[in-house]
Amino acid sequence: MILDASLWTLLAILAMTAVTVFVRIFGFFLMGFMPVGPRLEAGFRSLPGAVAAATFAPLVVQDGLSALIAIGVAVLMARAGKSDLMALCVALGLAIAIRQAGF
Amino acid sequence: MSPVHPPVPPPARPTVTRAGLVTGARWMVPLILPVSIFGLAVGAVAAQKGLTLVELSLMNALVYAGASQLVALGLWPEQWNGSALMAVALVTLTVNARLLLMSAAFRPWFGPANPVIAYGALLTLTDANYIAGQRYYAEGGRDLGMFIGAGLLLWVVWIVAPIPGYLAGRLIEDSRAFGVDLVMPVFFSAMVARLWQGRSDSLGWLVAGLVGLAVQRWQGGTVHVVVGSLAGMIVVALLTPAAREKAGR
Repeated sequence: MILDASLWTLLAILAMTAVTVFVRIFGFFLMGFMPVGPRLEAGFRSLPGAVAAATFAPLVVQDGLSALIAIGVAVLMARAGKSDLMALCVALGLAIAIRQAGF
Repeated sequence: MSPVHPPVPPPARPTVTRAGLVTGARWMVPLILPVSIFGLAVGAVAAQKGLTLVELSLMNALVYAGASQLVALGLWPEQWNGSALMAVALVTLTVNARLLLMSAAFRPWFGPANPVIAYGALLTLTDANYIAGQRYYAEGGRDLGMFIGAGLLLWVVWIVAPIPGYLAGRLIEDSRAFGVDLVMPVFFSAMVARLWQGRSDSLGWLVAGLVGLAVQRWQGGTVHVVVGSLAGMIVVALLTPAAREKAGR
């Protein structure tokens, strides 16, 4: 039945929950023992961009033109002050067109 | 329940307001559709793997980390044993390791707050409210409600959206042709582009991308995200003067 739950599956879900809660709070906890100076703060401020670059560089290399154009256009539109939603729509539209064209 | 009023926090202490919760939820509105589509896919995969609806919903509510759930469901065994359990936990830990860095990044903002609120807020941490929260903080916002409101809105979406996907029991046909896989990268990139602060960021992000690419080539998996972003963060930290007096060296 779709409403049952088995013991092993519940255990697996609880294990997944435990490790995820751990990573969600432990970084913050650890930083409580380190003074956050200007360097660390600048590092953290730049971290979103670093995460994006480290995550999407392999994606762009693997996926090719459509991912490159989509991300590049979104970045340029955001820098030009367009809204996130508009950047998303234009970038995805271009990517879909490129993929439909067979690239 | 009769409310017990907490002591009024000193003004410098970041707190949670209703307006902040609404602001945070508003930031996430453009993500409702893409997150729903991702949720549909997770629901469909869960159905194929034989999870019950209760199990799926429990996982969505408790784990609330889509990419890790998708990867873990990929490893979902037909017959369970201790090592299968370990494998699922380990892959979840690996895919979510980036949250460790993101969590650390909230120290300057959440640190002075009531620890119960700070840790409670962090339970809703995802890529989406991390990036939105960091931008909000960079723009001067200090209301923890913004972070929590953003996290809770997507949490509800994440619980509801997989259900129809589960019931349909099949993947969205050819999601690549419709660019579903690019939604999160594009959205994330557009948001971080606004956080750019100068040449040190350009250099740090370039290093992060190159290191991420190299590690991914070499190792596969998802560890490249953590290694690459750490490398970029270190570069930016080193390019920043250690203290104001020493600026300009």
